[in-house]
Amino acid sequence: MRTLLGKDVPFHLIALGLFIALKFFFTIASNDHLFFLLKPTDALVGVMLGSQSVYSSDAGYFHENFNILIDRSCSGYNFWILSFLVFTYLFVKYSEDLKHRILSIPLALMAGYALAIFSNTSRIFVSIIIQKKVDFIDDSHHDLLHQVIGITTNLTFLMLAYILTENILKRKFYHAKFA
Amino acid sequence: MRSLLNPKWLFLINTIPVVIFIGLCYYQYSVIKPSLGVDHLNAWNVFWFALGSLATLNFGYVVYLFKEKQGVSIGYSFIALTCYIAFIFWNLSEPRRLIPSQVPAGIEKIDIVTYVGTFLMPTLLYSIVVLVLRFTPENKKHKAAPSFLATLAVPVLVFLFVQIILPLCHNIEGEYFDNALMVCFIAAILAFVFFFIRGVFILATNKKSFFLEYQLLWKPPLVIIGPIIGLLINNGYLPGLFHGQSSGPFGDFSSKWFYILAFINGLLLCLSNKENKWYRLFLFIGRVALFIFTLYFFIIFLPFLPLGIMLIVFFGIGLLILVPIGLFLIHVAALVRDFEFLKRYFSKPLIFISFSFSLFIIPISVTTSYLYDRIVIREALDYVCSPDYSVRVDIDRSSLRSTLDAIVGHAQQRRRREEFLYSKAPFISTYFNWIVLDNRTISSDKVARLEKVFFNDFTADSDRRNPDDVSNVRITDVDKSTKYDSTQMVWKTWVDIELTNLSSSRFLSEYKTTIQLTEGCWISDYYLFVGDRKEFGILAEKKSAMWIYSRILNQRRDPGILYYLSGNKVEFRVFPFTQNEVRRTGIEFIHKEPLKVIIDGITIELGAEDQSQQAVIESEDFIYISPKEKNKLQSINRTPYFHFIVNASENQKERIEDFTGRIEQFCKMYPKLSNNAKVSLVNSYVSEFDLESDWRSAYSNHLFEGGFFVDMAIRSTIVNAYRAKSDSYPVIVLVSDSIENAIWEKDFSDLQFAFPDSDFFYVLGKGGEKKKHSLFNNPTEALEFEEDSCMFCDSVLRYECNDGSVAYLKDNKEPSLILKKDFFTLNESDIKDKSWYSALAMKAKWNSQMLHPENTDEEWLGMVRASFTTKIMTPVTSYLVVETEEQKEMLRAKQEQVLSGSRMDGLDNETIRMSEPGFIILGILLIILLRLRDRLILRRS
Repeated sequence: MRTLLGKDVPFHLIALGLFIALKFFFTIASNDHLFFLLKPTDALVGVMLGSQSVYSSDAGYFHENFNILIDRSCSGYNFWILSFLVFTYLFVKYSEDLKHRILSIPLALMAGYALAIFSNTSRIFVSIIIQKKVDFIDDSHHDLLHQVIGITTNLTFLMLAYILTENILKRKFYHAKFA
Repeated sequence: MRSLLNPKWLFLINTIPVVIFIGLCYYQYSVIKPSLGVDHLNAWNVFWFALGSLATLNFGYVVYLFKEKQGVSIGYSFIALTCYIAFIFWNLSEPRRLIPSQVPAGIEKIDIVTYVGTFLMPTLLYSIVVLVLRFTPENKKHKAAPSFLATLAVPVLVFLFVQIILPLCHNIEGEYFDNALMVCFIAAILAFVFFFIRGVFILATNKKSFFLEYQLLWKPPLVIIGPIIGLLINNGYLPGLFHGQSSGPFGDFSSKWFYILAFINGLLLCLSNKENKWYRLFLFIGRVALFIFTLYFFIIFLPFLPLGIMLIVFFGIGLLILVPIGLFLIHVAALVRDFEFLKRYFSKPLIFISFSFSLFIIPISVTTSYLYDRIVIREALDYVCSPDYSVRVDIDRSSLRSTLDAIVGHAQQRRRREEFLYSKAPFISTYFNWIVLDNRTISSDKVARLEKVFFNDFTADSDRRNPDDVSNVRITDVDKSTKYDSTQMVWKTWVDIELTNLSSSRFLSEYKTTIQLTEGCWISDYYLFVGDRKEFGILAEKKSAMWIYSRILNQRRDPGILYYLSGNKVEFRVFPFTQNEVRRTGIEFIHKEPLKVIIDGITIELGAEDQSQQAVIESEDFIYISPKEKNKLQSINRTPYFHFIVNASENQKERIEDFTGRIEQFCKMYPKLSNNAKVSLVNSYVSEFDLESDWRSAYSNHLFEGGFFVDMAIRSTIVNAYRAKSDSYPVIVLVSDSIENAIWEKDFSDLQFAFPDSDFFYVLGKGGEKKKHSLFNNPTEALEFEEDSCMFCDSVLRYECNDGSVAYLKDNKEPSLILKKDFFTLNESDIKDKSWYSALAMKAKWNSQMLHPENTDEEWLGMVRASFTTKIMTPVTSYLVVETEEQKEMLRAKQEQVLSGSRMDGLDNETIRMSEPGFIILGILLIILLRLRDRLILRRS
């Protein structure tokens, strides 16, 4: 196990370094830079809500029907880089050789991206629906509610993704080992 | 200790700080890049290449060590010391190389010297520690004394070298010699630190150490007395170094909290480690809570470590610089011992929770305090700059004082020194700027206004300028051409002006005058001849245009500018004029009725015969009444009543009897006006009472603090009277010994439409002396007070709207504008290019804004955009002629910055952002859940 951990550490460090770099990029990124996340999320939210949005570089996607704004703060970027870390950890842990370990990082980025789009769309959709239903609560509690919905949705998807991926990888790993 | 050779430490100590350092530098670089010249850009390229190479090589080495499962080697330490010292030296030798002095003052600048030290010094220290470990092998016995002797020998040798050998080399000069000296000096520093750490290391690993047995002898001087003396010296309280200076060399640590925390921290570290589990748990919590304090000073002083040796040689107090580093080592050792003890009695999760909870006590306290300050400064700015006249606010003066001190950066000079961590303390100030001010700067004008309003402090008042130089530039010719636009049924008149500098002086002159427009007349174009070229004006956002104009003025290039001062007054400036120079300029006016405009004392008639067919123009939100229609309206006299505005500001308590007497006497003179009269007690706030109520007891119990905020009092009186729409109107009477120290922003022309009855207010001065002042033109200047039979009997015109409401209009021959609603939003379909009706709608919107300044942030951008669309100048825009393409580009960039800055601020409050939750909380929850899951699985299995 110690040997395995020793082999994994450089990849964990690379992932951590990439995570810090990506997090730093976010501080300077504009809506235009995050187009790759915002566009699909907005398209899916639009399809689910039957709403059309208007895009502007400084404001993001504005859905007039619902008076909501999808901008860089709602791009799912943080979720993406967090799920990237989680996936990297799992992929590296259950990799058999160096080639697989190297492939883990780009794979984790892609898997995280897909999960982020899915989870973020769900989060926004659920948030809009619930906030419409509970319009009797005052404005100050809306933010709190929004946060609670966001954490619950994201955490659930992240946990499910972790458990599911781990189970799949575990089976493959042991099958490969004892085959 | 030997585990320090594990490459993970190199990753933590080098890679992470360097990545953060690169991030901070990149942020700085992106901000200042537009201001950099070629040399500085090249320097930045060198910087990126060097730092990038160092970071990459270091990271590659870490990965290699992990792969090969080896510890950090001696070779690495030598190479790292050489490379990083060279890099640090390159940065420190010329700090302006990367951030030049010409970077504008408003741009946030990092302290590159401190940052280089903070983020790279750990690598140097680590390299020395690696050398110590490698040169002190485990399998041999070592004595500490030789190392300590060598430590002492270094400063002694340096001293002898400086005193004996250096004077002998006075003939040798040159860059080579200087560099050789520098290398020797750095080598001496490294030797000093190496031997010092080695000595401490040998002592710490020796179980029968004298230091371990007699801790109470050496600990209190090092952990209690040392830090406090260090703070006292830094803050200039001890004679000698830095005595009497406003801020110490290492930062401003003058707050009493630094001393209190230093004492408690030292005390906790000196307390004996008894074998009682509850005692040790509480001791652990206390020590963890104050570890942030120790860590802070460790980080601050780490870059100054090399300075320690120099100060030991020259001043003997350099040891104090080493105190924070010693304190840090002792603190870490104490925490490790506590943890080792506690884990025998408590579960690890409990210790971990105690640790996490205690560690954040100080950061959370500071953050909470800053968040509160953030709320207070915003409330104060809203109150002073865009008040809601219907809401009473109460600002926490002590929080505001601290924030202003931090902004102005001269906390030391203030009387109040007890606030917690507000001065220019390294890192804390940056954190403060980020939390409280969002890293923005508050203009000095706004700071001066807050100082005046809340602290009656006029020292920072930038309005008190010297009177402008008298210019000898005069209008020598005026020509006009009028066209009637039959589609819009409005006049467009170009007024061409010839300006001549009649001055015999060889200095450059500026032309400056005020144009008084009438209602329904706006400026729709402007030009200025620059040489032989006719340059048309650019309509720009007002703040950007004025900023550019002032910059061009300093460069002595050709600008011309037009902007609204207040009400319908427009400032017109052209620069520069050489001796006897003649320049030509022109302004286009758009107007409905023929009218007269006075420019620099010359009356110019605009338009020909009255062709307007529409006497009244009515929309959903406003009504325009032409002079023709006004002629038909009934002239009435509304009932006047006194509204006394009493100076109840700082130091005015002893004037209670006097001021009350003046009011009573004035009421006796004009008994009719004392019916329904009102009294406002004015300091920073306005407290209004009926004269018939028990206002005297409120007056005697009043809190006399802050400035005499007359501007707010008069504005709220006018707005409240306008909203009441009654058949009476207030006669404003100021009761104060002097109005010079009252707080005025500008005149009240912007509210002229809301106060049609009178142009004046009155002052009951010393000894009951009565003076008259104009509300709409230089309010601080006293006019002659003449008592006649028709005092306070001004007439107004009564207009009945279709919905039955009544509006009162100024009884004059000029058009008037009535607001049907107090507040409305501009209809975008009304806004068209060069449209007079659009200008009317914008003016109505501006008037509405004057009644509701609290909506300025939300409405401002819309008003700027509407003005851009119509190309007609409004109070939020300005016509500006610039000479060069570079100036036009500068204007465009500044305008973009101003507009984008406020655009996000001004985003509709009700629009919901679908922000994702913070990833830290998500990460923590995920880890907790996964841990719980693992435990569950373990239990089941």
